[in-house]
Amino acid sequence: MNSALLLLIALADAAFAGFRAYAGRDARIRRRPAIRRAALRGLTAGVALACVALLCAAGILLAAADPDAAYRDLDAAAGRALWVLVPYAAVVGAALLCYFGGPFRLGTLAVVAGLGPLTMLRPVAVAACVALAGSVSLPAAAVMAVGGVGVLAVEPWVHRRWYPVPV
Amino acid sequence: MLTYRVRVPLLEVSDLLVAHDPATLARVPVVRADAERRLAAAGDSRGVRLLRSVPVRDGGILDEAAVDARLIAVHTELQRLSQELRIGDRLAELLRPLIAAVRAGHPLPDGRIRVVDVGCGLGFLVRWLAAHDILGDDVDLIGVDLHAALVHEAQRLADAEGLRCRFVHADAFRLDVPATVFVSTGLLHHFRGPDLPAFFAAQAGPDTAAFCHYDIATTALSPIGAWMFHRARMRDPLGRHDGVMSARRAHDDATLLTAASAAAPLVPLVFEPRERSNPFCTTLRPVLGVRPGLVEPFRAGLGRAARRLAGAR
Ligand SMILES: C[S@@+](CC[C@H](N)C(=O)[O-])C[C@H]1O[C@@H](n2cnc3c(N)ncnc32)[C@H](O)[C@@H]1O
Repeated sequence: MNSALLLLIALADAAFAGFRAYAGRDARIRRRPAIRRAALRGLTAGVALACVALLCAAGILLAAADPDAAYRDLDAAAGRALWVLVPYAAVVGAALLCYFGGPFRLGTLAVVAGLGPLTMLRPVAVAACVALAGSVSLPAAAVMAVGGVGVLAVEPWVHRRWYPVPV
Repeated sequence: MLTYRVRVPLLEVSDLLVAHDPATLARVPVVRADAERRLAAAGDSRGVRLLRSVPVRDGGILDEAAVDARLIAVHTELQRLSQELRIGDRLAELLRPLIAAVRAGHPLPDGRIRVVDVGCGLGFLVRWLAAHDILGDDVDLIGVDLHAALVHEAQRLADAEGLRCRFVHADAFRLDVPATVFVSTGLLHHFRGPDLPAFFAAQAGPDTAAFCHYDIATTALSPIGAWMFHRARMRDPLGRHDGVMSARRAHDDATLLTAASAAAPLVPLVFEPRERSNPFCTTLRPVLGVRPGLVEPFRAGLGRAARRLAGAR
């Protein structure tokens, strides 16, 4: 259950990473289709990179003497990562609501005090997830690290692949 | 031991990459070593390194095509900041009542109102106003810049979206047709010393009804905010460097009001000055100049937001 929620958050993050990989490369005013395409590209990259983490997890379960216990560890580690990621996602969600739904001064506040700093804190959040997984078991920390590297790799990958120069 | 600091000028690398002949506006070659010396004299070793990343051709002259491509990319990233900081909405909030006041109370020989964006870069402001159809059919939206490559890119972008606006490679103060309202973003801090009042004085001609120039608000938050924001949102280190420099170079409200009084008889005003705004909600604010007869209608059109105006009654 925890693992599924973690995966869901990672994939949502990948879609946003796809948007960021594109943002700043398209100076047109009406960009909805292009934004959708970028988010989809991020999601695709995210799915591919999540598969790598899932393969690692599968390898650990197959090699474990007690696969049930190993699975419980992995799920518990995912649960600890959610301690960080659920509040993070909640703040991002609130900031996005203000940005898209509120008057423009509130939108600026959402960017200046919310979305901007949160983008910079992403690697810290990922590192915290790995550390928390490490407090459960070493194999769990390894899977989390592979997943975390994948999460952080989406944006540079999509950027280099599709948006190296302005469109 | 007595130590003291000499004030060195703060420089933006992108300002050193292009030069124009002021009379003909023809591009003048820039020798990289000369630009490097200016940055070195300003104690900006990071700026020197950034400059060295720009390719040169024979004679150590900066490669114009490489410079143009780099600046177009930096401006495209910069546009993302303008979008996120809602510069379009901010300008529209003031231009709507301002244009209404002009329409009702300013002589318009050919019935047209010309809004001219001075130093338009990629023309985001003008294209945004056109795309959202903010100002009405009697308003011509014109972006002007000294840098031909930016103007061409702005026009290409406008054509790609079929927007009703145009871009001109010219000095904004020597146009064939006079401007009714001058606007700009991120331009004011480029004028230092006597160039700042001279910039405003150039807009005092009889055809000008008003001007509205946005620049980075000097708040306690702006230096760290600019650093954080350019780091989070821009990739090119040149854009990051210049973004932080811009915030450090930005003029405060009092300096702008004083300089804008050089455009007399236009009445100088600041919207959302430091003491009437929240630094988290307002990262850019404008200095305005308005014909005396248009000030009251403009205030009335602004409604409750008029309480954010400072400078004159
Ligand atoms: C930093 S850019 C501003 C870019 C743009 N407004 C933006 O927000 O991205 C300043 C530009 O102003 C232009 N400029 C300065 N004085 C000008 C004038 N008198 N007429 C036209 N352009 C001018 C320069 O060529 C330069 O490209």
